[in-house]
Amino acid sequence: MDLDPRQYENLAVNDNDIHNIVLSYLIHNCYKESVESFIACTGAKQPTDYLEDMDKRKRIFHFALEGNALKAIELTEQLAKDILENNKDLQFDLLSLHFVELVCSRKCTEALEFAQTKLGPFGKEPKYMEKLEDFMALLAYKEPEKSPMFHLLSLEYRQQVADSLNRAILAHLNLPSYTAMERLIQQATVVRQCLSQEAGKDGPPFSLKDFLKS
Amino acid sequence: MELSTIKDAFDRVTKKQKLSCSKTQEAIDQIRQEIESVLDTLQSANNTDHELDYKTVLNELKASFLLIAPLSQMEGTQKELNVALTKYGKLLEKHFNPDISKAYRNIDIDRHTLNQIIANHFYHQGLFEIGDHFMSVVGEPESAAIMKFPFVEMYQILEAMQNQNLEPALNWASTNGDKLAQSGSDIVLKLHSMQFVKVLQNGSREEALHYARMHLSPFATSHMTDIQKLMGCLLWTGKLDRSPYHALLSPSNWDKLAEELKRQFCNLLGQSYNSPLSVTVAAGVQVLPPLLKFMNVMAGKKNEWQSMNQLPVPVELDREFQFHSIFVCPVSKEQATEDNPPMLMSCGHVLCKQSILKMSKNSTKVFKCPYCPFDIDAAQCKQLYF
Repeated sequence: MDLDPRQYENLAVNDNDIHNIVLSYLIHNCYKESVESFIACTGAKQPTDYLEDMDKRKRIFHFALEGNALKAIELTEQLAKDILENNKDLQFDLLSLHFVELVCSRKCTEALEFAQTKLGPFGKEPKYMEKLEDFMALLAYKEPEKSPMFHLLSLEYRQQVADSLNRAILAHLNLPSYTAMERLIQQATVVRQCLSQEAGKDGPPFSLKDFLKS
Repeated sequence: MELSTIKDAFDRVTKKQKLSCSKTQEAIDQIRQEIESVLDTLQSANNTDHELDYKTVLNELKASFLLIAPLSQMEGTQKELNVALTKYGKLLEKHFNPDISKAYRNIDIDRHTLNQIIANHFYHQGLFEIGDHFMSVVGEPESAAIMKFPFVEMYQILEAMQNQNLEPALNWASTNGDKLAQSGSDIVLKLHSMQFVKVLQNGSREEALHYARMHLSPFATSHMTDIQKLMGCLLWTGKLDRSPYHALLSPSNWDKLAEELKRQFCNLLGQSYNSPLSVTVAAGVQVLPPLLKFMNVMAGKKNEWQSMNQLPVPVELDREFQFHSIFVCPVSKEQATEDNPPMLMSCGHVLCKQSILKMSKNSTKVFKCPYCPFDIDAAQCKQLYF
């Protein structure tokens, strides 16, 4: 990788800053054991009340990830009643996770009942109509895994919803929704791309993957 | 036929007639007022024993009549009405010329074929009794049954559909599913969709779901959007009329579906959607006015046309009457005919027969294709059928 003309390697980086960045990333993602090990190893300063909130978030996150959306909703409402009330999109996504779980368990009558009572009211808003139709189409198949909407049954989709929920809870707790690590990587990527354009290089654009390998 | 000019002329006549009527009424009202005024004067004079000079009163009345001038008032509008009426009469004569003999020529038509065309029209329209009666009158009752049979089935299906019963249509669709799929028709899905909505409307959600899994899921990959919408309806069981999908309940959907079924049914029979007779009449109605006009202008050309192979003037027909491609030879710039058909050369390019004969000196020598460097042997050229 070419060295940047601005000679950034001369900049001193404080270890504490790096520790805080890593720690915030671990806390954000609820890696409780890793957080404890990291604090023990580095002697980093322990954030206040982080453990209790992290435990709750971890449970909620895992319930959402497993597809047990009703439990995730229940725990979220215990933690902060208005999170879902103020975030209709998230509420819809969580309810649809439960619907998908019922479909996967072949509980079609139950799924239909649930969709009509809980998801139906969202149908009055056009922005949910398309999504609703996607979910309802799963019912047309005896084997929904083989349907064109199979992505709705995937772990990736559940991960996406769980991430959104986690971010919403963090925002409610007045914590950053995105980790400093993510932000720094995004910023570094943009800066490198700008510098590369500025220098007028004809080579390929900056790639984070390649940079990490070098 | 273009009737808007006739309608405009008729509207002008009615307008002038109304104007004339109101002007006449106006003049009569003015006269009546003057007379009533004079009568009042005479009456009051009688009541008060006043001396009244009747001559003066009548002279005043006469003067006011002259001032009103009712005749000249009515004359102008009446004149305009007469002009409009005369024009309208002439326009009617021009457009509805009863003598169409100038625009056709007598051709020997096989009576049997003509009878078949007429009977086919009756059966096509579902007028079975008339068709049977016609066939027995012309002495061909035996061919009636063969012609009638497929249309009887079609009209039984359509009649059931009028009563919102899709069973016969669905049975027909499942029997002919492969043929319909080959022709690229989605009538089977449309029928199942309609039945699904009907089941759902009757309020049974589970039954509708079962129906969807049985009959709609096979179409999911090819008609994903349709299936998604139909499955979305399940959220509104019992209140579909107040749902975003209320358009699915429109009665016009049944009419459209019936029309589509008739189209596909005729297609499988190898018949056109409209009977050949109705197509001929409709096309004839479009072609007749320009031909009549031409024959009126070129009265002397009648005999020439009798021997022609094509119409004396180019006639524009709507797209619905264009059933075949037209080939114009790129060499001779002439339209292909039965005697001069398009021919496919070994290189893949197409010319008309006469151009090939000309270029090959009556098939005696090899010639170069005008479009590519290929050498063409006239004997290897194949006739194309559009």
